Amino acid sequence: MTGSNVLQKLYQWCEERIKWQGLLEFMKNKKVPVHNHSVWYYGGNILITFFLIQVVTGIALLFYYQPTPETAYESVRAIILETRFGWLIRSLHSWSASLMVATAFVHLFSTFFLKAYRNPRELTWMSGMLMFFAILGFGFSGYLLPWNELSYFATKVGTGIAGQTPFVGTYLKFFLRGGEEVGAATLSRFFAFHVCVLPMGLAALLAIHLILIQVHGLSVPVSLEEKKDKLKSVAFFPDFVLRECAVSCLMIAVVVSLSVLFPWELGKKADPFLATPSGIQPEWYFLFMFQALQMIPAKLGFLEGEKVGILFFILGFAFMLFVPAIDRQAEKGKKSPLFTWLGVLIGMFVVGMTLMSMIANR
Amino acid sequence: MNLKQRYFVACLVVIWFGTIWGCLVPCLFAQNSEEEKPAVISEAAPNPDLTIDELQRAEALKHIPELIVFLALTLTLAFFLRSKACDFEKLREERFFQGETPNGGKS
Amino acid sequence: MKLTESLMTRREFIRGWMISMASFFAGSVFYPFFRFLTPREMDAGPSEIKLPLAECNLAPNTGKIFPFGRKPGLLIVTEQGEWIALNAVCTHFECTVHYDAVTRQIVCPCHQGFYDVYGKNIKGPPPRPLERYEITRDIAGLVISKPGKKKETKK
Repeated sequence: MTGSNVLQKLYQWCEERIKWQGLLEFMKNKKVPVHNHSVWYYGGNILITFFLIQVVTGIALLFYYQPTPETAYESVRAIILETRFGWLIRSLHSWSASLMVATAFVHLFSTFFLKAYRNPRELTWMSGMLMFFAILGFGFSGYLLPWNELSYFATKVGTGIAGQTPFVGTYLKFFLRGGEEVGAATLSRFFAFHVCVLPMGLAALLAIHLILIQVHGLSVPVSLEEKKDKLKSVAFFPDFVLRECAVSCLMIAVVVSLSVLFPWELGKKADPFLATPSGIQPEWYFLFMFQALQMIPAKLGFLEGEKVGILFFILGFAFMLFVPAIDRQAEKGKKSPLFTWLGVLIGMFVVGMTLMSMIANR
Repeated sequence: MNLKQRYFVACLVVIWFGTIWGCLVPCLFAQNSEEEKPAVISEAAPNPDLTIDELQRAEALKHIPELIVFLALTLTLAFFLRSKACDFEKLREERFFQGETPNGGKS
Repeated sequence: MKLTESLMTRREFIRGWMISMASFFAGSVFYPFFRFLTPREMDAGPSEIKLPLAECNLAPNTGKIFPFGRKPGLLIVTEQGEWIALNAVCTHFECTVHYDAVTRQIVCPCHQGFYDVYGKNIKGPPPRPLERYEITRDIAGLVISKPGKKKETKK
């Protein structure tokens, strides 16, 4: 067929100039194990799909968005009402952000429970955890950009909480806000973080994460480690890639449906000199921290309650980041039920606090 | 009419309907065209701040037919991608790729 | 139902549908972004503007740039006392022109384009004359309007 001849000639042309034969042979030989928990292997690809949606819609929004307190809200309003399909692109960006954070939680917990962080995949896990923090940073920085009532006061509260961090709190608050108060300086540096610093950081971490996955292959559950070579497997390219593309199509269908049926609201413009409206709360993925900090008493002995709470969360995040070094059983390739139960407790804490916050604020 | 001719006619009908539908889709999208004035909030509106969300919702609901078309496209594509993946896996099980490239043999 | 013969293989059928669905999908994703990034057409701007007296005190053989909606206009008073209003956007590459009292010509400095005092292109790359506006006076000052929008003068 003429089409095949053209493709073969194109392939040959690229091979002479890029010398990609070695890479393609490696890709052809990569395999994906098939077992009862194979479905969790799709988590990473779903995250990449949402990240690509964020990048594309984010770049499109950059054409119209203006990052000053005087014009930010108006520019978002113009995007929604005066451009063609602006409402859709903005809703896609917001819904995809929420779904990306949800998928990040699922991917994090699935790899945690499957002990995918054990030897030799410690760095893969750590790069993944850092990406998780970057995704939360995206959510926090992007939330302020429309400069509406909810986002202004949520940022004020959020940076105020960051200011309670032991030892570095005052500097951290000052750095995040770009001054004493949330204002023009805050908006411009949040914008810089959101469109430049965090995307570059996430892209670099993603590259490291993907390279390490290619180097080590896909992890299998501890119980199947010994039988790994005898497990049924499918070729990664193009078999599994085609399946991943099908899943990506489903995710795109979900996010577009949500964007059209439940467009993301804009609300009122922020007015720093109005009283904080009641029921102000951060986005759903920060609710568990918000609720936990609300429940801590003002004083715990001689320590301030807020500082104890923040220290608790910092230790929690540090635990998650360094769990490969802490879980000695998994490091040796053995089952680690203690850490499985710890993961269950952490999951219950996150879900429980989130639900409690949602119900309390209704 | 023999089987080949029936199959050929069926494919032509599908292609013809698909082309018509494919030409209609841009017309549906063209609802959001230059001739329409942008939605403007009247200063006399009782709740000017909430009206942005209401206008947005009204605009979004106008595009539900396009959403249905897009979902049909996307889900069909997902189905065929998965079918192609299953096809490749089956070929591998039959050891088709050992040293040869597939040339679309009859299945 | 097993077919004894077929016009195409299942593999070809799947490949054909996959490629056509993928191209429709790509088109339906590309289309909203393309429309979103294409700016809406701006309205044509005002058809006339008013210049108050304070801004019209020009000496003979001088010119002044004034705003005509979003675009610059050029107001010239000749040595004979004739008032001329023109669109100050050069017809070559849209630079803003100015009046040179020494040569009594309108100059575009970008590519050395020259117009006479009535806006006719006389030298250099400009392909067309400058658009001429109509001037009428009223009590408050000058009313400068696009051709065809002349108002009755009040003296």
